[in-house]
Amino acid sequence: MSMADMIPVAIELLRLSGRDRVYTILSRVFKDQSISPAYRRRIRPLGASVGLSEVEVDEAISGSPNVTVLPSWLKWVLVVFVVVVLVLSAIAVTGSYVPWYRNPTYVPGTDYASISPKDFL
Amino acid sequence: MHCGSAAGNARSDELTTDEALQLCDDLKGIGCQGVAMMGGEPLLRKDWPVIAERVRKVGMDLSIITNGYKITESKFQRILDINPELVTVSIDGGHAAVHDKIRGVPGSFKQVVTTLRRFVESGLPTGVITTVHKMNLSELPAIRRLLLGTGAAWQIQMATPYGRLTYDHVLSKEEYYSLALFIAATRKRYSKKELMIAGAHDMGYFSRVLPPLQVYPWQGCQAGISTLGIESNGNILGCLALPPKFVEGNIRERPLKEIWNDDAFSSYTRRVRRTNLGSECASCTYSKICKGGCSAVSHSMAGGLHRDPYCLRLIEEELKNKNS
Repeated sequence: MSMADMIPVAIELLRLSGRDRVYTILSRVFKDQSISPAYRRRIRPLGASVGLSEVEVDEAISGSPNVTVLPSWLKWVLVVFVVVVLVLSAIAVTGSYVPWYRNPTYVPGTDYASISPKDFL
Repeated sequence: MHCGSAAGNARSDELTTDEALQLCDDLKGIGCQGVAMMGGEPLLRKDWPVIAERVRKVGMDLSIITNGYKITESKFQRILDINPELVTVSIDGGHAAVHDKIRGVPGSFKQVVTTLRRFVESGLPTGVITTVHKMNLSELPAIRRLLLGTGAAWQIQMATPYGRLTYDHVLSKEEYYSLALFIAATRKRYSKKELMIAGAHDMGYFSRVLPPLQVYPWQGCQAGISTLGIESNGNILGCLALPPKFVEGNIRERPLKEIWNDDAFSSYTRRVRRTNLGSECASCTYSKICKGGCSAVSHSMAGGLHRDPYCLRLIEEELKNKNS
């Protein structure tokens, strides 16, 4: 199963788990795949054979959310989110090495934990 | 004209009352949560109330599926007294001519409709099952009109060619898709208050264009996993929709617990590998959940398990390719 395939399966599992609200939200976020007019014309007679009008058939069928194609606004949100996370991570990593206070005695690289005469040279 | 169990006269080796009561205890012992009494016609057994009461007494849910025919006043009252979680009647047509012809009993339509109304009016949770084949596919709108506003839940399922139904009466794939469209359109058009309708749990799978048709999404064949079939003579199999070759024991020869816990029991559902799946199912995105669909449909229509051809996703692909 490819990475792209995992997304619809994961969403189906969400629905199976009863988290319908999440599924509904995801369905709203991702654009429905369109159904071609030719396909609709193929399906309508099948509906007519059980007494369904064309309108009823059209209402019953709809493309499932195409969860492998992100809407453009969501792409921007994700890009901004990733950038913010990266920046914060960079700050967190480098921040641990920045001397936030000036202590002339205890600075990074000090070999020993107590004051030595060398420190005053 | 259709009966999966080809029921007729009672089997000569049916379980005795004591055996049936012990079976109820044994079912509880393996963690069973509910029993559906069906047939044939379960209410023809004279001791059905005793068995039904035992099911309730040991703490299991009870549902009764009946043809709704010749439900006498005393039988009706016994059902009310036992108070099952669900009573279900089978309706095969929206007109007496069709239902009676399929059932082979004149007057059965009138009786089942009366029974249905009595169950609903009594306040019992009531369901209707329609098993669909070529003879009654066109009856669906009429059955819908009959059931609108009754308060009964309507389950629709496809007939498989076991028992008395022959292959030439089974729905084609396109007719099956029409059936699915009907369920989807009806669910869209009517609120639950007007009509509760759903496909049986093996109806559909993962359509690209239709919404889910079942009450709970398909999670693979549950035969021998969360369901167990027990025939009237004590034969055990994973699901009563399957033919006799799938019988894997009898409670008169081995204790139920031993059969259920046997590693080999229902291996066709408990241990499914990708190599077991048909080629189209194996390459499907949903193969791990679906596992090749309903075992009964797959076996009867494709000659093997895990390759159910009556899959909406598959049929949509075929329709699309036919179109292009």
